[in-house]
Amino acid sequence: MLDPAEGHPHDVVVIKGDDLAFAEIVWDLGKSTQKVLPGGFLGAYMFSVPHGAAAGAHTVVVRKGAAQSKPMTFTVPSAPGPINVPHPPGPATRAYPPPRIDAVTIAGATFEPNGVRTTLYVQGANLDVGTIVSVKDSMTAPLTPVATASHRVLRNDWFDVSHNDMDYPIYHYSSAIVIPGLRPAGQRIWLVATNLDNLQSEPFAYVLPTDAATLDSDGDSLLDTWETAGFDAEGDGVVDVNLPMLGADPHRRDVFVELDIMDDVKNRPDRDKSGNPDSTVFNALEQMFASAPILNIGEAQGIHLAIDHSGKPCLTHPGGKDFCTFRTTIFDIGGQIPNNEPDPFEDSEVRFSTLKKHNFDDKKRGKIYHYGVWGRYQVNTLAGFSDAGDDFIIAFDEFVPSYHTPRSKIEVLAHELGHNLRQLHAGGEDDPVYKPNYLSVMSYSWLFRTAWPDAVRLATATCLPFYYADKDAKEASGSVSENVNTIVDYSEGMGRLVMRPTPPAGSSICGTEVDWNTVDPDSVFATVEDFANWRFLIFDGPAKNGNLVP
Amino acid sequence: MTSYGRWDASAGIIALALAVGCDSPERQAAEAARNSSEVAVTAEQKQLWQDAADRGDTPGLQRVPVLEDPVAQRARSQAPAAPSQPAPAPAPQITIPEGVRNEIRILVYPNDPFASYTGPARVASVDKTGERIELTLPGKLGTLTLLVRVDTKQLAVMAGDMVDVAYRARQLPQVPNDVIAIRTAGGGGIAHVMQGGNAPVQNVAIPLFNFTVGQRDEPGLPVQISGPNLKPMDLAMGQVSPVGSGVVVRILGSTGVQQGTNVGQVEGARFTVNLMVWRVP
Repeated sequence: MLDPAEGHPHDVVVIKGDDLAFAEIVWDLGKSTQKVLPGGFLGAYMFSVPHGAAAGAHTVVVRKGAAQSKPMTFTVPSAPGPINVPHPPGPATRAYPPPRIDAVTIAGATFEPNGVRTTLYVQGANLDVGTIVSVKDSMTAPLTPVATASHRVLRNDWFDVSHNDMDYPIYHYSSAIVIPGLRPAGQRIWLVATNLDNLQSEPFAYVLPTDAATLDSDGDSLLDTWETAGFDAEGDGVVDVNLPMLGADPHRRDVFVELDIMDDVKNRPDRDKSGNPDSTVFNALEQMFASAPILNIGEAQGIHLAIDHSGKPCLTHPGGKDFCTFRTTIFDIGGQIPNNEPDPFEDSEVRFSTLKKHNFDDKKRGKIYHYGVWGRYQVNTLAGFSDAGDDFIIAFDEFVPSYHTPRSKIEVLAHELGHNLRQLHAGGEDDPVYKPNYLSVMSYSWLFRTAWPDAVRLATATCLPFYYADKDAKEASGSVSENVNTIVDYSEGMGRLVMRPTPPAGSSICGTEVDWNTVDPDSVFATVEDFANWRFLIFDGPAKNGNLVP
Repeated sequence: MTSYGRWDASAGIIALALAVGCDSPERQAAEAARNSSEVAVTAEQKQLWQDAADRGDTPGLQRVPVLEDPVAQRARSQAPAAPSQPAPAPAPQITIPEGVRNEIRILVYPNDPFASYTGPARVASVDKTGERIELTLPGKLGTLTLLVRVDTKQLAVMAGDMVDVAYRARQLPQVPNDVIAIRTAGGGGIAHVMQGGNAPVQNVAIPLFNFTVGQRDEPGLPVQISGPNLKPMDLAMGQVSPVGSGVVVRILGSTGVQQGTNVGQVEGARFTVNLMVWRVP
């Protein structure tokens, strides 16, 4: 059977049945439009509805040698579908979006004196089943198609948001096995995906590995040797961080975080309101990364995030007693250096670097882990701070009670960790921070949204179904939507460009009016746009900054 | 030559290795490439896969699982249910750590935490440490409970006393605009004031202590203190100093980030002042 049995061109259809290995898929059997469709890797497991397929019924069979399945019917609806929606002020109808390559990882590599052979795993948005990847050696070189086979598909969910609110709707993500052949080790290549309608992706730059010793197949800045045999910080043959035991996988990106929580924090992330142990915040954050739109070769998908929150940041008083709570933490970076060194015990004020020095095993963990402190206040009294590398602080314990929900705690952790993974408040830049169409917890339009006064929510537009991960989300008169859950997300980059209205009214996103005075009070920007965080995460913070504090 | 790859077999996944017998990994990979050539749809792809097989270009391909069900739905699911577990022991009540000289901390907020208030309040109770003070605010404002220590001492108040308080919470998390202050009829008291903006912070009133502070736009962002009964002075971040009339000021923070400087990700206001003020009666 076909799942679904109805859909539009480029939709991905699953074939369910027996004996599909090494079989082929025949579309429009017996008609002049009959053709064989590309399936999955080594079998007739899925296909993309052909570009230009006419409305009406189409007969599909699976064929293997002389054997053929019973005919199955696939129907393309006559009503305008998701790829044919009016979209003012652009063209009257939209075509299916071009493919977009998001990431390249390595399934296998062999190193020889004259180069490296790799089996690449190329993935991205709206890649058809049957997309062909081409490779070129420079931006101006001609494209050379290489052996390509589709492998995995992840259908997307828009929470019923209209296509009109998206400039780059992502129907699905998919991956392909790609064979570039023998090439110089360390060579920069560009990959381009070509869909069934011949639309091409933008070139995606990728640097081939240089040698087996530094191979990092999944690009998470944790070497494959560390992820398979453990990390030996001192090179003495003793494994200091047993990464395999911690769930590391050289073919799935891993992020490790040590978060030390101060004593006397009123609103701990590891406790519920009654003070009982509760892992909701950390589970939700790990779930956010696990459900990232990132495909892996093996079974586990997304990104593996592991948070070690078992510790607390303490200093030992000269009298011998450990103190593990301080009113103010100085995230000693940039201009935040005190003229007079505080006495942590008398002044209840301490440098972040001091806490890290005494509580984080930098020698063993520095190149593996991000380090965070969950405290009360930081010196600038803002909710958090990241060094955009491997350190961060979260300090909003003294904010009013509406902030202290699991959702807000998940949001701020995702936000600061996002900074460590090099994401910014406005996508590719840091302003404006209240973009209504940047569908990401990195935007101030999302961070702590449920904690604000109603009037602030009312003046700060965003696409509510995406923020609340709920198709029915509404903020009547600025109040928090009825169903608040723990689903937090970075942006996939689908949002529609929003133009500064003239006069400054009349613009909207997902049915919510945009107050441009909130977005851009100084009227600096003519337009604001979304930014795809997930495809631009950079994982090298600990590896690069492992010996610096903060 | 070395190849890398590791994953677990699982239901729904057919490890190709099972289908190609016990040959070497290189032979298995080549066999997988040849099979890919057979199922390729176009002549060009058939040839490319065949060439890859012949040249040994597909390291690790033998371990790429063949997926009978290769399509999934992106599930931004909620966190797995994590029911709270009973606490092993009652959480200790929050107190001011011994040795800390000064503190003012809110434990219970007014009924509308975003509404500010400056004026009299009645002391409803003081705990046995003398540092946990429950205040009754006028009208429907509710209760404000504070932890207070002034220069290592308890504030000299008891239930029924009237004190002056000032309370204000920021409306936006990125723009500090907070005050918490208490002062007794005898003049003793403490205030914690936080203010932020996108330019050096100016004219910040310190309630109940009748003076103002502002950041000087010069290196180190010293904080200027000025008021009717105080001698004007500049204090740097981390400095503590008497400023007259028995009032002492500590500059917890005076921070500023210039546009374009690479100092990590500041969350919000580029300039902030954070100070504590106290007076021992």
